[in-house]
This record gives sequence, structure tokens and C-alpha cells, in this order.
Amino acid sequence: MDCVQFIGDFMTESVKVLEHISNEEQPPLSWKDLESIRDKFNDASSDKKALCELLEDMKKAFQKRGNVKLWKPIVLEEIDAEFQKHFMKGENVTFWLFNPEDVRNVEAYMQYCAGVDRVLRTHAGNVPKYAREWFAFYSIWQYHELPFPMPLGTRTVVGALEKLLAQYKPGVLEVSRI
Amino acid sequence: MAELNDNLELDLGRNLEDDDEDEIAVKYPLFSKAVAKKAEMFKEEKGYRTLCLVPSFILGLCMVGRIKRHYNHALWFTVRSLVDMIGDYGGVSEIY
Repeated sequence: MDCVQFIGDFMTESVKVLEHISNEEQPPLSWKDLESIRDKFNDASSDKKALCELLEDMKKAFQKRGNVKLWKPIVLEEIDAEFQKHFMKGENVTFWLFNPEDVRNVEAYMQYCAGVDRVLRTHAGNVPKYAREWFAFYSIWQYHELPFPMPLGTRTVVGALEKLLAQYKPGVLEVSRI
Repeated sequence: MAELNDNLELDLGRNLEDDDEDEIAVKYPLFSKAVAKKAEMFKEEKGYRTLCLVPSFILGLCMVGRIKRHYNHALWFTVRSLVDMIGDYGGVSEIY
């Protein structure tokens, strides 16, 4: 897969995730339950299989999509600002973004999630009804079998991905040929 | 872009998306036809034509275009920057 295709797929997936988070169906688990499960996923000694079982119904319900146009520009703007706050240094992308091995990435992601949750609470009447719960579910990246935490694909995130791909292009092209 | 977005919305409304299906032309048939038509229409205009010749990229652009009030403020969201991205990485395809 070449870099441009990768960016294209990332944009498509980003909007799909926002659609899933817009799902207006009441989630099977409460935000508190989800937060507790997310914390346990970060605990190395936790029983991951048992945690996954707890999330089965959420997984099914998450497949439904809501109206992506329910996202107000101000809300996405503030979510994007959370990304900038935790993953950017001025105009530059931190080199450990999307790096599965780097603990700074995971720590920044936890702070980012708390920031996004704060934005969703601040704009409670202006975001999709269960956005907090669906975002909390989405943010359990280990459950979704992602190799590393994946912030929501707001505009700076897409730009950051493009910058990183440009930086690491030779390596990416090499891997894509294999 | 409006025509592409309209066709994409029609495809999305038909719920043809299947996670196991990779081919854009199968998942988004009306959109794919509209992109091919645009590529033909912009034969002389290198910028737009280049975008239309990378199906997954133009699909991504139209997807984020559904919430364009957020993305259209991004520095990279201009035809020139986008064409530069493709120019930098290559990967133009004429196959649909």
C-alpha cells in the first residue's frame, strides 16, 4: 500500500469512526463501566479475555452508524486542539506519535482521551447523544486490535500523518513492497 | 466536488458497505463512476485529474468533505497541497 492510499484510507476510516460515535442507540455499558474496563486494559496483570467478553455487546452495537453531520465544527475544533496539545510541539509532530513501542505515546493518548471527554461534557447538548460512551469504547485501542492508540482523525491528525509519512517515506515504501 | 459528494451520499444511503469488501468500485459504485467521469472531464487540468486518478485518496477527501466545515480550514486541504502529496508519493492509477 503506498502512502497516498494510506492517507486516503485513514481519512475514510476517520469519518467512519465519527459516524459510529454518532450512533444514537443507547450503549449496553455505562461510561463508568467503560472507563473502568479501559483502566483495566492498561493494567498488565488484568485478564484480557474476561475484559473482551465484557465488551462483546458494545462491539455489536458500535457497528451501527449515526449522522456524521451532527458533529459541530466547534466541537471538532476543540478535539483537534487536544491532539495538538498532547501530540504536537508547536508546528512539529512528536516523533513517537503512532509508535507502538513508545510509552510516551500511550501516556499522551490517555491525557488526550481525558481531554476529548472534557470537550464532550462541555458541549453535552451539542454532541451526538451517546458520544461520551461510544468514544470511551473506541478509545480502548487494545480491544480493537490496533497496534497503537489512534486519536480521532481530525484535521491536524491527518496533517500529522502526512508529515510523518513524508519523513519516513523510504521505510514505508520498503515495508509496503514486502 | 459537489457531484462526487452527492454520489457518495447516494452510495452510503444504499448501505453497500461491507467490511470484507475492499474494492471501492463495489462499495461505492455511483461514486466510482462519477470519479471516472470527472477524470475524463479534467483531462486538461492536471491538478484535479491527478486527484481523480487515485480512487482511495479521492474517496478519503470526499469522506472528510462530508464535514468540510472542519477540514476545509486545514493547510493541506487545497488542490495544490493535495496534488503535491500525490506527486511526492506517486501511486497514480488509472484502473477502476
